[in-house]
Amino acid sequence: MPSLKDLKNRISSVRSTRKITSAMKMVAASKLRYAQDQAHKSDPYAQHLAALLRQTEAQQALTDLPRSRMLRSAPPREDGARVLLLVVTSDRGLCGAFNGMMVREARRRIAALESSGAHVQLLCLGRKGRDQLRRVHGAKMLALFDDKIPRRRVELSFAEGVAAALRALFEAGEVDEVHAVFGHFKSAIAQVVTWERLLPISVPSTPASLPNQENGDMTDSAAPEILSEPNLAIVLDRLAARFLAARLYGILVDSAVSEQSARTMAMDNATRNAGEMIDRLTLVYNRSRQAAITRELVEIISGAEAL
Amino acid sequence: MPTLRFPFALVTAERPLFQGDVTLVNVPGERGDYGVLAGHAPMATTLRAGILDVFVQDESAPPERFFVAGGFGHVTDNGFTVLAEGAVSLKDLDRTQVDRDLAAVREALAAATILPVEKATLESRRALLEAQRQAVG
Repeated sequence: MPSLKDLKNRISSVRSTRKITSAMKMVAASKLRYAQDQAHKSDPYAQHLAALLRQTEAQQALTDLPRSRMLRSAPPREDGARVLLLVVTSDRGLCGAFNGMMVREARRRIAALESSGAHVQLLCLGRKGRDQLRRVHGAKMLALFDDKIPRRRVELSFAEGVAAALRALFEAGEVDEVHAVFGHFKSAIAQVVTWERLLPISVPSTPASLPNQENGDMTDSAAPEILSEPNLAIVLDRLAARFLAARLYGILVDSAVSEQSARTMAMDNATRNAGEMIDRLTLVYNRSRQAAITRELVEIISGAEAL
Repeated sequence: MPTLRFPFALVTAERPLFQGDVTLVNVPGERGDYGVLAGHAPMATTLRAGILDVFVQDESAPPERFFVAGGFGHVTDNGFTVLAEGAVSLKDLDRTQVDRDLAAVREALAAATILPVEKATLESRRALLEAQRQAVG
């Protein structure tokens, strides 16, 4: 039986934990709003770019021009394809199972790819994923950027930089495919681990395949004839490069939204648990205090009777 | 004769910058500037760095001016959309600030060790700032 003093200490320590978790929940909720806003604002561009890419690609398919490099699969290799796997996680912990889910999926993908004879390389966007994968898969990791500095928010310039580096690797024939594992924000309570092939670019077939579909006036009337300037091939090349950068930015933002919503939820649970624990401890505290008082009274009474 | 208006949108990967009905948009196309009026034939073009003028009412009123670093212009039957890179309203561009940023980026690029992603990021930032520098004159 813990003493009254011990219980009191325990209660006050759980109280301060609750204060911390509830503050963290507020912070995560405000970051969540910021990230959602970012996602919302980037949506029109992503959708229109996809529509334009689809339209120009459909048009090029009618001609006998060779397909743009970024849209074309690399010729198969004798010794297995070279696959670069992007693992998008958070830089910070305390967001429930979020990072664990990504890492587990990444491990599964690596194993599946390797068993099919592919050479896998890794690029971790997010320190948590890097730390968890480093022990077993450290040798596969590419050092394309300095991941020691945590990134506070998703920046377009970073996505563009990563896209440029990926494109360079792809066009030099050092990687044949680029895949990404990231958390897709489905709803406030559900983040879904998602896998997507980034390179070669798979042109989104219909607007419905896009994650977010709000404005119905999408330009998908598929006007077959469209003028291009300077010419179709150049426009398509640029579009493909831009699409990769925009998609990466979209993925990073989506992952940030999922991370913050996972953290909000985890901190909300922690706060509630702390509250329940305080209630339980307070009950025990009150009971033992009452027991001590009763014991003292009994002692006094029996002392008086003995006289 | 009333001027015909058509829906126009200027969007960047980070946020939409302009949306509304306009009469004329002058665009810095890669192969030269061009103007889009209502009823233009469907077209997809690449853009170069330059200034994009949006005439909301008619051509006598001063246009809304934007700097764009590049991107795409897409005319469809439903209107005209510019998917711009590095776009800002021209009145938000400050010459001394651009100069200061440019110097900082050049300095960062001169650093001894630089990894591919950071290099690409800095180089595109430098290109953007240089184009902005030209636009503000």
